[in-house]
Amino acid sequence: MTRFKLAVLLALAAAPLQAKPRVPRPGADALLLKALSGPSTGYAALERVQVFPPSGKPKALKVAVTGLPSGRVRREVLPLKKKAASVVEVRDLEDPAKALARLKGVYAVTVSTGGVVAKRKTWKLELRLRSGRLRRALWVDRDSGLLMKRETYRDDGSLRRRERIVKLELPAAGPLVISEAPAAGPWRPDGFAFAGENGGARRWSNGLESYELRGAGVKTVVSGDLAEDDAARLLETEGK
Amino acid sequence: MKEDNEARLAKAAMKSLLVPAPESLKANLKRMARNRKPAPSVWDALREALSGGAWMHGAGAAFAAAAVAVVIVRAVPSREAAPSVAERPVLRLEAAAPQALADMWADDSGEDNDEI
Repeated sequence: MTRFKLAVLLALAAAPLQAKPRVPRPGADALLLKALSGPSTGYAALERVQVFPPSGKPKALKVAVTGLPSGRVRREVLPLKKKAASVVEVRDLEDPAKALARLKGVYAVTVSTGGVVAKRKTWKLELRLRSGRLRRALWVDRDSGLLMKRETYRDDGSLRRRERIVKLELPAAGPLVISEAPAAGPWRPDGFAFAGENGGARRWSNGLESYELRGAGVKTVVSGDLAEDDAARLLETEGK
Repeated sequence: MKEDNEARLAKAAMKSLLVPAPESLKANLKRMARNRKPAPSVWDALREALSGGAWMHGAGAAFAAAAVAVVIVRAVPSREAAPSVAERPVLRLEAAAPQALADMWADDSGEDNDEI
């Protein structure tokens, strides 16, 4: 064997040593808690929200998201027309332990490799109902814990809704300020505003999807386009 | 007898036409056969290609520079500007009319990809 052949063989044998070691997969609870806690630095992002009606074309809107290290988030829904008004909401972070307990009460959670979203490597969390039906999938940034993508599925397994960060600056380049205060009152899902009352049912809508609340206090009943965890959170805050 | 003479004459004529090869040509052919190298092995050819002439050194340097540039570009965090929010009227969600929210939605292809 010539010296050259030996060198080639040694190089080939050493190639696996150069490979990066596989990152250990985190536990489902720890990862979910990290996602619920949010990143420890401020960030600016552009999010696309897509809704897939059972029949007809998908619809989408864009949201400029600003997040502070404290967990306060400002979401500004961008209008289609340049001079039209944008719609802003501000909310504070929910206690991560409480949110985790609620999610674990509704879903069984598993972790898998999530691929890349907005140039960030992610872990994928699958949230399944006790029946085994997949209800949500979450893609969480491996480094910061930021929720990069969330998909919600119908009972038949079809995709109902997708929220995805399509542009991200994390950490944010400049200082971030949120001048508005969070809205008072019970919690509402992102983008839903009060749309009226009819026959004892109060209705909230985001312009495309809606849900209704009937009754009051602990006897409140929720129905509409909501996943089980959102409905549970609504009932928690309504019951107070 | 006459036929024998004709054959002899034809043979003599053929012999006179044949020109013997010069000694120098023979020697050259023998020398070339001696000096002919055996076909190079694949490894030798590869080694020769890797340690090629000056132009290959240049090509190698250019390739290495391109590879280093790619590594640097990928390592430096993206300087893409944060999604800028231009000055525009802002409405609080609590005060938004249902029609204003409905007007925010546009038809979509349903694709799952990043912003280009």
